[in-house]
Amino acid sequence: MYACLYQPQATEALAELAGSFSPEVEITAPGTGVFSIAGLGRLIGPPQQIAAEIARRGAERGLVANLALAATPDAAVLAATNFRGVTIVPPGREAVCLGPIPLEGVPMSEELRQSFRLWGLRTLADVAALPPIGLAERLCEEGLRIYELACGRARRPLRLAPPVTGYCERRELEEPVRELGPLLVVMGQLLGELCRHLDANSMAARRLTAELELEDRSTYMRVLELPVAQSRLKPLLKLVELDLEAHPPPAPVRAVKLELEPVRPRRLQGGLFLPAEPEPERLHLTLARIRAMVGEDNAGFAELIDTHRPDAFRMTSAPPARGSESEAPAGSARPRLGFRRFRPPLAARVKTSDARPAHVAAPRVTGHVTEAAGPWRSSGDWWTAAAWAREEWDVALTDGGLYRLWRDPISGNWFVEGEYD
Amino acid sequence: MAAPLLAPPLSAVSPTWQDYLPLALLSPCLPGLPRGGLSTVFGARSSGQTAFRDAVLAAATRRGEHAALADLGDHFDPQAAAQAGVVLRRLVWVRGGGNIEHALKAADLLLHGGGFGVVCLDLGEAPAPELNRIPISYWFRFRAAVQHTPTVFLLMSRQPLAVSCAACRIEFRRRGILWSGEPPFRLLRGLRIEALARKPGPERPLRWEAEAE
Repeated sequence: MYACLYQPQATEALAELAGSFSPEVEITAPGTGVFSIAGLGRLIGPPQQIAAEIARRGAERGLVANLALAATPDAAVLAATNFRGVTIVPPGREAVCLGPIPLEGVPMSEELRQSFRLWGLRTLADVAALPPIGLAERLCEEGLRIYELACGRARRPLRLAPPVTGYCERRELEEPVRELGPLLVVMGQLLGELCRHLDANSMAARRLTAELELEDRSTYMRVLELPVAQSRLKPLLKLVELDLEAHPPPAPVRAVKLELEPVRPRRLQGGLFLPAEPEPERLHLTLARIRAMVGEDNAGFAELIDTHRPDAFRMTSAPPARGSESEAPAGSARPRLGFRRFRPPLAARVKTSDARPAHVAAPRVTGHVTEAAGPWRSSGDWWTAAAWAREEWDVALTDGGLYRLWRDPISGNWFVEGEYD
Repeated sequence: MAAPLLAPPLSAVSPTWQDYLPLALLSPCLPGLPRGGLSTVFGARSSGQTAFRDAVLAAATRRGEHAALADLGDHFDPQAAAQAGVVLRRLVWVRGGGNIEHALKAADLLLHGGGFGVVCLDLGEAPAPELNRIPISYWFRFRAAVQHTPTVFLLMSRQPLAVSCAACRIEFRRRGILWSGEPPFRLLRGLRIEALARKPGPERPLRWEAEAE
């Protein structure tokens, strides 16, 4: 059997009262809650006692609502929304009990309501008296639904409200903690709880926010953006550890709050004959470990910037989008000449002869020029503050290397940009 | 009576892509760089190592594999590599900033992370005294980490390293610079490179030319 509570002004209180009797609660409409009372008979007693118990608990909460008990959810809803006080519809007697309900109180389309009005039908009892086949022929599925409602035969499962899960955990510490180790133990416990919530709801986390309340009552916040949504405790905790090692809280911590932003997890179909690739979660963790060692911007993927400026690229933590570079097979089987760039370019002292480099002296690069090609002049971004201009030379030196030199035409300074290899 | 089960003679076993990263540059001496093994390349300045590295990275990334480069001196040039055919979005680049310990640890983490077709450790510009101070146990550790994986571990340096651990060892020499035109209208065309495959098997020379853009 099902019970329905109706009070348009108190949806949350109804849901709470219904939830205290059954985990299966449907909020049919604002102010209308239906829940299953199957099994309460052995615990409380017959339907009259169950209704009395619901009424008693409602009164304790100061809730004044209509209550109806019936064999089907729709019958319970109809009785609760149309009859004041407590109504018990005995199983098999729905047509009789619900018959006096006017059709104005039954949810249906306006077109159907108009048809019933034109036919002179005013109550559910009038509809129940009609032949069902004829009704279906004239009014199709919706007409038949109202007929089954009128007869108390409309059966359906409850549309349960999904449980509201919070992905936020907070814990206060007995003593302010300065060391990272004990703090991570607490964070591990909180993260473990959050990961269990994620698993239970088949979700993964895209962002992790750690809010640390410090000893001086100020708040220290760290936000971890995860390129790959994750739901496993171990990599998440390791990421938090690496981040806090790189950015430790400035004062002892007295409370920890962790919050995850849930998203649907990644679904990927692998292929038997596709080349192996690093597992994204693991790759992200590996990169985080390396970044903690070499610095934030020194590990990741290089993305070329659409400009002629030399050495123009940016580092990204996730692979750049497809399409920024071609993947057509190389036209030539021969290798391209490699280039090893010196960052920053080596400032050089260059002696010239006939306006051509004759001798180069720079840290690690010194020698007479045996061959030189140039100058190749280029410039760009002259319409911005970051204008650049250069004269390039390809030179072979007596030290055995083949280098690219460039000269700033404004300052006249020379630099060794790199080595052809 | 059943015939005894014998392993086929070594020469009869043709190498497959599971055993090697195919590389046309190394044929006919080698079918490619061995997977699950440590390959070392070394040579003087402008000897063609970088062209070879870019060719290896391009071969792997164009097959759909992911590659990683632990770059000690931050010498990698993404523009030149992209022109050589490297698919940059499949290449993890670690800039070591000249710290040899960081570069070694990064290579170790990448190898243990797994899933890469190629992991390259470029120790190119490191001075000889620093290279000589690297404990030999590192090379054994790398060899153990890469063993039984489909990864090619490529070690680049100016001098031979990890001699006993390497499954493949190639020395690079420059045989000449290709110029066109007469002074003062010269144009750099490329490098003429000689590679000596010293391991596995007897020493065999390979010659090719690396073209400028």
